Amino acid sequence: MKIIRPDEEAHVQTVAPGGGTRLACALLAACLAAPGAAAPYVPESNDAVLLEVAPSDDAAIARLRQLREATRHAPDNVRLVSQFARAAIEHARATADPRWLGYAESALGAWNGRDTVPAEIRMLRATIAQNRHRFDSALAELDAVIATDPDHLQARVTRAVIHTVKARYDAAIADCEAAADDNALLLATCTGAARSLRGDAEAALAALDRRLADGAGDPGLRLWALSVAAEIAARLGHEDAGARYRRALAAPGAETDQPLRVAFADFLLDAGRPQEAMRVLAPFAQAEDARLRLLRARKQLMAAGERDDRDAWARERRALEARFDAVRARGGEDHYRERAYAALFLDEAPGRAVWLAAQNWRELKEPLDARLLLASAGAAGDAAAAAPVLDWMQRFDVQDVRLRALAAALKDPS
Amino acid sequence: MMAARTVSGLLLCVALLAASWTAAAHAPSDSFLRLDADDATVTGRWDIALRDLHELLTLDADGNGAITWGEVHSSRDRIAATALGALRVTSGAGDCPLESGALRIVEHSDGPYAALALRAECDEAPETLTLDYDLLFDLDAAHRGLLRLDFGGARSAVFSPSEPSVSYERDRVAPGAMFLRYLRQGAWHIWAGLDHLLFLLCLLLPAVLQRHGDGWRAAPDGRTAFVDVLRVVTAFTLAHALSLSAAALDWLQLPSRWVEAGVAATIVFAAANNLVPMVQRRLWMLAFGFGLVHGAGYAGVLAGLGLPTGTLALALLGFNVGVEGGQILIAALFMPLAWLARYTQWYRHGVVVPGSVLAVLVGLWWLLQRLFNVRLEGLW
Repeated sequence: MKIIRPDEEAHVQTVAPGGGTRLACALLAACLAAPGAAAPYVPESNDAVLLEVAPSDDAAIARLRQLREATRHAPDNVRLVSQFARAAIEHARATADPRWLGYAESALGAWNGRDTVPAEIRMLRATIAQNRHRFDSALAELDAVIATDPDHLQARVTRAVIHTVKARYDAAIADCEAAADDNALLLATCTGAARSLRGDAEAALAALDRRLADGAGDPGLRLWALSVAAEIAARLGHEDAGARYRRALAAPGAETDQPLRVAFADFLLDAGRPQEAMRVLAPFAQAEDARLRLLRARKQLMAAGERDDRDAWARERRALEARFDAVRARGGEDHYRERAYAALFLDEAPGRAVWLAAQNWRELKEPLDARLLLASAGAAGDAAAAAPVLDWMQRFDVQDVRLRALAAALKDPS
Repeated sequence: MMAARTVSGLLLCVALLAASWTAAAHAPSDSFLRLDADDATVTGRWDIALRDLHELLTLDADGNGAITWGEVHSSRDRIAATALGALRVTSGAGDCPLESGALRIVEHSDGPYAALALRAECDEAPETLTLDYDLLFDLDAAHRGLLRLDFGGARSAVFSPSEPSVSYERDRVAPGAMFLRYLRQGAWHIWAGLDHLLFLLCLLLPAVLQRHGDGWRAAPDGRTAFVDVLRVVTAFTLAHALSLSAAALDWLQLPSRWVEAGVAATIVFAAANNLVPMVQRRLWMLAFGFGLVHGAGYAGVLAGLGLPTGTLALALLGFNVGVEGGQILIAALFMPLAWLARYTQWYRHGVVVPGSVLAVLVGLWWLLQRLFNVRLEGLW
């Protein structure tokens, strides 16, 4: 059924009215299709609830608003502004609500265009930039902080994480070493991902296990360490990888750790365990990354004949694509990784997946990104497209059983 | 020293573990601004997320965590003041003062938005148009305003804190373009508005026949049939022009769901009337009464086009003439065929009866959908 939405009018106006065929098709479609055009309407009663928001007695939100109000009266008070911005960023992350990142960015606005910016403010700007995948701006802020304070722990650790994502493992390890000083657990965790991708996975994992066994570190650091260890074990194909993920999920602070849940869900889906993946993702079912994995899980269940909700699945798939389109329309992230994931696992459209994964690989070089390009190149029979990933694997001697299997299949299609 | 730094550092570390993580459960803040610049008048619609308006104005007056239509409606003046204060329309000749019109709700992919009709009156038809946008930026630097402007030709832009204004030169268009455009819209919507079309066909199906006892017989002369059809179509159009104008001018605000369900009910009745006669004489009165309901149903379409409340008589006239023209076109296509076939059995038993049965079924289906699906809205 053709539904006229305001944003489609330009298109609709150019469509000539058809004849009987169109009417018959429309009649049929009208009987079958679900309704839902987006025209403005008057709700049917004053009591109609349009939107759920935090109630006024929600203490966390009230505190955030109070802090924000305080910053508006003192927009260049470094202590107040950074306190609010940090709280807002943490809230954005815990609730997956990007509006709070925008509120934090606005609060930091007093330093826009200034030459001297306090390190604390730069760190917060870097965090926001990184969250939006603007790695170059994030690196510029971090470089400036480290130039004035070479021992700045947070800046070093953050930069190490970005270097790791960009496959600059030596630079990442150097930053970790400068940051960790005498904190052995921090050193093992910070360098863990970089070392494991540089052909040193067993040793990196052993170091993490040793430091975790010491019982040192605050909960946030231990959770990070457990997550990194689980991912290394999964890449090495160790039997205990699943148990390691579960251990990380049981650690304090893991409730709000979406990346950990998403990584575990991918691990479970690769192993053909969709039910468990759905349970792991349940707390964040609305987040884009979780929605992608939930769709993949449902697809696996449908393929196994354990579930049949193709229409609902297709609707949710379209809704997710509409979200990606909406973000691009406003000049936001390109979502290459997410769209490649969807094209490969949900749409089974390897040709499109290859292109998206190749675009993504220019920005992100984590094992998942390599996986997307290798798998879609394999499915599309386009071995040449996978060359950058194969080079990366060879150059760093990347230890990842799944990637190696995909690479081998690509080189020898029989 | 080291310990203290570690603690403060790791607070943020948690947020940074996955550098490439962006997953969002909610969309970032956007507003959608649609403007049409015709002659000296700029009209349009601005959709602003209720979530954002709540952050600015605390819409949830009773603080219970649920924003109701009553709460939004009673904040109407504050919403309008916020919007009007955040947008400036300037022509080469000076400021074009903004007014707001009807406030409705519209669903976008990420939730409900307030849809505010807008109108700006310039001193003369602008040759250049400048828009300055400043909604939410001091609160949310990541807010974006997505503009679609029709200024002779279609333009689009994204307002951001670093690019809060745009200027355009008019594309040359012939005078009366607005009238023509709304005429086109009206004619198009009679085709696109399947439910209106179906209703009209139900009324026209038996127009070449006359009830005779339990059966039908062919209408005796063409003139009677033609006058009957003309009456029906005109009554229907006049009635819906009335209620459509009243709704577009915001004199009449009816819950969309009931209006839409009412439209479906009229189809069921009109089609059933062909099968089991209930109203036979003065069909035009039925068409008039039901036309009022259909006109109210079109109000949503007009709001979708960004027609503001205000005295846009020309646009309304164009739209209505377009609708009437569309209907006459349908009647003109349909009637000669029906006239030729009026003596045949297959027209009565192969077209009128099955067509009416099908229309009853479709009408009932729409009625059920519209009664029980709150989100249903729009043309169908």
